[in-house]
Amino acid sequence: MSTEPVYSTKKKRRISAIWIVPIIALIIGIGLMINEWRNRGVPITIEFSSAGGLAAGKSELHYRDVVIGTVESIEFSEDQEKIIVGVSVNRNNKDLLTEDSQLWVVKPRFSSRGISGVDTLISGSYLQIQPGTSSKESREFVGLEAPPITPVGDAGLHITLSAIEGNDIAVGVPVIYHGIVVGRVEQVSFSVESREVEYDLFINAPYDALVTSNTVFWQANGVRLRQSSTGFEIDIASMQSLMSGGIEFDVPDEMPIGYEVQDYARFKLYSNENDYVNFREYESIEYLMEVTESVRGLNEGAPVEFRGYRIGTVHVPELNFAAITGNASEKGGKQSVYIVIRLEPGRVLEEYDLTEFKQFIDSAIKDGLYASIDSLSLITGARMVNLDYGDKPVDKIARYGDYELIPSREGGFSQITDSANKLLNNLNALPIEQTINEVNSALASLNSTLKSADSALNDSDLSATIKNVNASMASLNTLISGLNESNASQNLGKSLGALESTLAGFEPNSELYRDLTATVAQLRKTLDDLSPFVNQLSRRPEMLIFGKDKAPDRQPKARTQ
Amino acid sequence: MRQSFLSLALIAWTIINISACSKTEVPKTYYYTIDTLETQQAPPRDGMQIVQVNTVTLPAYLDQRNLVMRDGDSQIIISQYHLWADEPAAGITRQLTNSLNALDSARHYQSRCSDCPSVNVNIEHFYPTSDGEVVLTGEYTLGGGNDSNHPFSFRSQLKSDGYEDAVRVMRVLIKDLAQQIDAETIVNPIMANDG
Repeated sequence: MSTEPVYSTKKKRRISAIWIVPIIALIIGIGLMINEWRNRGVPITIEFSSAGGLAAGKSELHYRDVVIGTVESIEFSEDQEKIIVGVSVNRNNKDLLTEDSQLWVVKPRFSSRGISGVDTLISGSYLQIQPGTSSKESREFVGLEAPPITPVGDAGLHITLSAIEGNDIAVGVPVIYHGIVVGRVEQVSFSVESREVEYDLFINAPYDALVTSNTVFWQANGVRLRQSSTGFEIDIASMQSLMSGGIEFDVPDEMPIGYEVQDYARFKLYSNENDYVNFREYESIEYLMEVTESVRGLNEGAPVEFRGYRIGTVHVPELNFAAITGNASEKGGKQSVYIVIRLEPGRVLEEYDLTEFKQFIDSAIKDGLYASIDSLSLITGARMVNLDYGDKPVDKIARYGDYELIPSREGGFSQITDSANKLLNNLNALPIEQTINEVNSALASLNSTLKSADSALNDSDLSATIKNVNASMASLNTLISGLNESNASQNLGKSLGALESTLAGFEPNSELYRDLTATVAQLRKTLDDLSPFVNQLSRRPEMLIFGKDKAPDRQPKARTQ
Repeated sequence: MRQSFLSLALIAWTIINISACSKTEVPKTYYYTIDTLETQQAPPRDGMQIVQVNTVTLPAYLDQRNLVMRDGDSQIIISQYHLWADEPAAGITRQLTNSLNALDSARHYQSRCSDCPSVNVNIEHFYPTSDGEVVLTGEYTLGGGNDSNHPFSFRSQLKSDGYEDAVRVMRVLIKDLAQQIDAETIVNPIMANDG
């Protein structure tokens, strides 16, 4: 019997159990990747001019003080001009990333609105986002260099003010209405086309309704001094205005409220409230003045007044009439100067007709209305044009080119200066110098004469003689008084005898004279004896304390043969 | 505080005074006279012209009791312990007068007279020098105010050191001046003063 082995085969497994471990590991890895992908933030880039204290991996993105992202990278742009900050924003907050969202760096800032971002001194700088209102998302942004004045989407009105000069108004300066801050300056720029400074303002709602077509804007002054009929009034603006300035606005009392304005309406910014009154543009009619005096100090915008009331403005203080017409006028041998003035009825009349106003002015000129240049301020030298009646009536108004002529006269100030010049010329013609020289010569002669008389009077002999005469006169006075009495002759005799005795006492042989001479000689001897000591003392005053110099005198030495 | 300051001041003052009384010897003071006994004046004889010798004038640095010495070209040293016994101007005038009287037998010179001619001497330099020379320079006028100035200049050497020999030489120079004046008056007789 043969037996064949029986082979039995089992069915092998297709996958080895050993693969369970790597499969489980793979599943776990995939899960981790999915989780990582799900938790991964939305990458955005923000372009700044500088990093502003940001640190990659540490600085955060905040929205309403909640962290919504982290700065991942900080790199230079390709042209090395900008800083590109890469930020990872939480997916839950990706709705904040609209194309008009604003991002900026929060760091310590000191501005007219105060100090902000002080907490970043401890926590470090971070990014802040203000989401926009657009529905379109964006992943690339241009960061703001400073926090926005007005958050995007805030209700209010944007307007633009223009001014010829920059008035030290910076971004953030408040806009004030009757003492209340109702907005702020968002941007300051200069327009090359219009050559004016432009200020972009934002007026918060509901105050934006206060801005109408007749609203006037002016720069708030810290301290304002006004003169009124009751005296002086001082207005002091708010502390913020004092520190950082401000812009005020209102509708003038004499004007209606006006109509509502649209966003980004344009207005003019005046330097102060009074400038509006002075520089407001009115309807006007123009006339020409022809003068022969200097117009220095007469500027464009200078007032034209009629007996103290302002009724117009100087438009062109020195019109080059000859350049326009090719004909220079001669008036009294002097070259004329032409001035264009505008008469503005709106300054004095609430309701008027311009044609009727012109007819009135023409009639006034025919009745003798004339113009003159007068002084407006003696300190600054500013001048103005004054209209008044007084000239001789004319039948017809002269025309020069396109202008009608108002007759002119020299102003009161010019007349005064002319008179003063004439007086000075007359004074200059006087021979004052010659007269002074002659007076000086006479005084010099008198001085020398007086000196001679003085030296004569100072002569000791003359002084002694005068003293003797005085003594004699005293005796003579006694004599004269005695003559009034009955025994005058006896008194006279006694007086003469006394005088003789007195005079005898001064004779060289008299005892008094000898005593006096001896006294003088003794005094002289004493002075001679003291002379060496005094000479030594004058040279060495310390000799009183330390005694005389102990060193012997140097003596002359004979020459050796 | 004030008392202690006063005490200290008093002590300091006492010390200064005591130090002033130190035993350092002070040099002896010497007095000189320029006019000597040998030239006493003799009374005038009849017929002699009387001439007044006015007191000589000296510059300020010489018109003092202290003898002076010139050191170098311009420095003047004033002595402390060598003094004139009398005013130098008076002594020089007496010495000059005595010298003139000793020389001239036709005139009598005296210090004072009325309505008589005069001799006026103005001395500019009269002192010994440190290198052993004695100098006498100046000018004089004779008669009235119209006479011109006559300059004079005399120098002589010291024979020994010291002011004593210097005074001796100064006396000799005054005699030389008297001789010049006498010689001048012989050539140009002195006229009386006008008015």
